[in-house]
Amino acid sequence: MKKLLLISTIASAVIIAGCSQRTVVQYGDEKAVETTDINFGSTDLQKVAANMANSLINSPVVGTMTQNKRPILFVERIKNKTSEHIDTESVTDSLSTKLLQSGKFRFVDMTRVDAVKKQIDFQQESGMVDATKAIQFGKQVGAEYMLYGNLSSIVKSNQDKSDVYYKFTLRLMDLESGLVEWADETEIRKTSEKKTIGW
Amino acid sequence: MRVFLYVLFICCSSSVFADYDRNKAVPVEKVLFGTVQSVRNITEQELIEDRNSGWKTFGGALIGAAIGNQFGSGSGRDVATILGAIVGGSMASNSNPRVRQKSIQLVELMLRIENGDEYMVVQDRDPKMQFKAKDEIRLIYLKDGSVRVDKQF
Repeated sequence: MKKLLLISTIASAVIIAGCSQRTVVQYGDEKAVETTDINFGSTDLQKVAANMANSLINSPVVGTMTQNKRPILFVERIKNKTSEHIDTESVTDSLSTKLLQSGKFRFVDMTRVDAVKKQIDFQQESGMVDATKAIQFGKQVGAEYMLYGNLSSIVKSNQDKSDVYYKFTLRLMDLESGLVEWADETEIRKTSEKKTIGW
Repeated sequence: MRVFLYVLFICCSSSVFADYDRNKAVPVEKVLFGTVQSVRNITEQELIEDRNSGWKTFGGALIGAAIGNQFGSGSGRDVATILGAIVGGSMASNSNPRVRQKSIQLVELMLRIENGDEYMVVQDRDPKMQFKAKDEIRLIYLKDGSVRVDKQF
């Protein structure tokens, strides 16, 4: 009886071990289309940033604006009006990187003002930095334009089908005149459907 | 067999936190932006006292989606029904120790919206997203009549 119990214990252990899952890690193409689920994903982020950057760089208004100079921009937050917790800072990061790389614009980064102030305070007041070489207060250049936008979604679903429509709106405002000089929209539609797989 | 049942019991009781699915695309009525003014844990005693006084404190609060869906359905989504069900549930489990204990930790969030309006939201404490004063938040009105508070970042 004891032997039988031992054998059955070993057999069940082998069966359980055989059923266990293994985790396999692989590198993938970062530009590959991701369709894991219907929610906002990496492909949407890339599409939004690329479309907006291209549209802004190639617009005739910006062409005139950047003819003789490189305007200074700052990015205001993108307002996320969807149900999802989306890192909109990541969208604006990608966007501003593409715009900077185009060589047509310069940026001031409002998210790092506190860190910059701390560093200048250190240079001015700690007594550790050569006073003649320390960075001076009041020499920074202010932004001329503001980039801002909204991300909204319309979601419809029934038992078999879900449809998500994202609309990303971006605008460029002249801070002095208050005029909106440029605006564009990127739309994304995603659907998911339950399909019966058969032979 | 007894051991097996015990394991099942543990599995069931581990889901006491209402499930927050913050990355899911669902229909939204509107989104308001603002900051957290204060966060406070609500005690069971406070809930019972407020119920006895006719929901004077929490009567005007907005109810978080996760507890709203657990304790109310259809037209019964008002504050009194949902918070009443929570108080009722915890008292029932106290009087009968064999009933699975549900420990739902509620937080009261006082929010100031960009236009100056102030709101009180009662939702359950999500260990994955805890709030503190001055946090910038989004107040999401979901289509089912409940709300959810999210951090902006």
